[in-house]
Amino acid sequence: MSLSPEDAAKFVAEAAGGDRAAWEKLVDAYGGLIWAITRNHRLRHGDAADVSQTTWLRLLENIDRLTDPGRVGAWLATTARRECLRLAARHKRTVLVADEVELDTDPLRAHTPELDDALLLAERDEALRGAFESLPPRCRELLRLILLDPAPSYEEISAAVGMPIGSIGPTRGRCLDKLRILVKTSGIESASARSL
Amino acid sequence: MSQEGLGFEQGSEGSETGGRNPWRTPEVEGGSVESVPDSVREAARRAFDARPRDALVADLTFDSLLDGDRRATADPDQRTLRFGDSDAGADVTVTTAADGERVTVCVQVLPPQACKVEIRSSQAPTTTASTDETGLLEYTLPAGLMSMVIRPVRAPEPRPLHTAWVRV
Repeated sequence: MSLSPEDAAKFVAEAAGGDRAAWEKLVDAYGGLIWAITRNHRLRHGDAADVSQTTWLRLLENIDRLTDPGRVGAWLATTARRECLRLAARHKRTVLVADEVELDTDPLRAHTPELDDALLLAERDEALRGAFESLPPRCRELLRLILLDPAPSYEEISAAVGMPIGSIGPTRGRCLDKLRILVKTSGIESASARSL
Repeated sequence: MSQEGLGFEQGSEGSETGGRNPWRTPEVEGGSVESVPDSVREAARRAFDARPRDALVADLTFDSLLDGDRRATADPDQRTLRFGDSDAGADVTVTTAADGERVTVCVQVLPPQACKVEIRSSQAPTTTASTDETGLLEYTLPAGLMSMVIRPVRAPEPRPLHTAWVRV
């Protein structure tokens, strides 16, 4: 679970007062959310790392003047999304990720001896990932956020993908249905697929 | 402040040119969720050391990339930024070198006045420079995240101005 508004406000206040442990709790709680937003914008790794860092520095610049510290997650998501757009504008076009490892051609993966079980798991994950990559972009963006651990709140997801809160539940349902069908047609039967 | 204290990792940009990406993490069980690379998480933790203390923060209030009409700029390779406002701030133009690796930054402190400026970068050690009497300063630095701490040279010494971090 993501932080409750009470905990979020508490950690923000403590971090503003110089408490490093509270800051690290915020990083642990929301780092994944920010990273997923950079992935949704298909930024190269270096750009994504810069957006993440800029977002955290922006929070530090504003930490003692947030209007609603309990909603810092949504604030971070909005900030990260805006920084992604800034970078995209800088490159004048959205740059495709250069660092996607092609699973079929990844030499390390091909030459690493693995136990049968691990191999089967890897194959299943690849198939699941293949199904995921076949989803429409909007579904991938939404599911990438929903599957995060800790799971963001709907308000945070709304800020991250720019979708009204009321649309998230229904869209999530439709996207998961699509994923189930894709998984079924690719013949994956696994606990992880069923648990979606 | 030492660069180590700024929460950055030197040369993180260049690493992706080395072919395989060392940060690429395997998909986690259950779906295509990529966990945050350790280097990114560590940088976020260390950013705490770079928090502005005893300084006013001048927010990024204008960025021609997002807010402006680029046609208004004579040179399309030039980006204009404003931090803060005319009572306490800076106008900045950033020109990127042809190779994309270095930028030239031209600063006009607002209101115009002589200042000492600490230039902080994710890619270079912190340096200090002085504006002229009218608050003008030009310098070059590697492309990356940048922030300035601007200290007006007058008595009584006012609180320094910390410009929001921005990727240039």
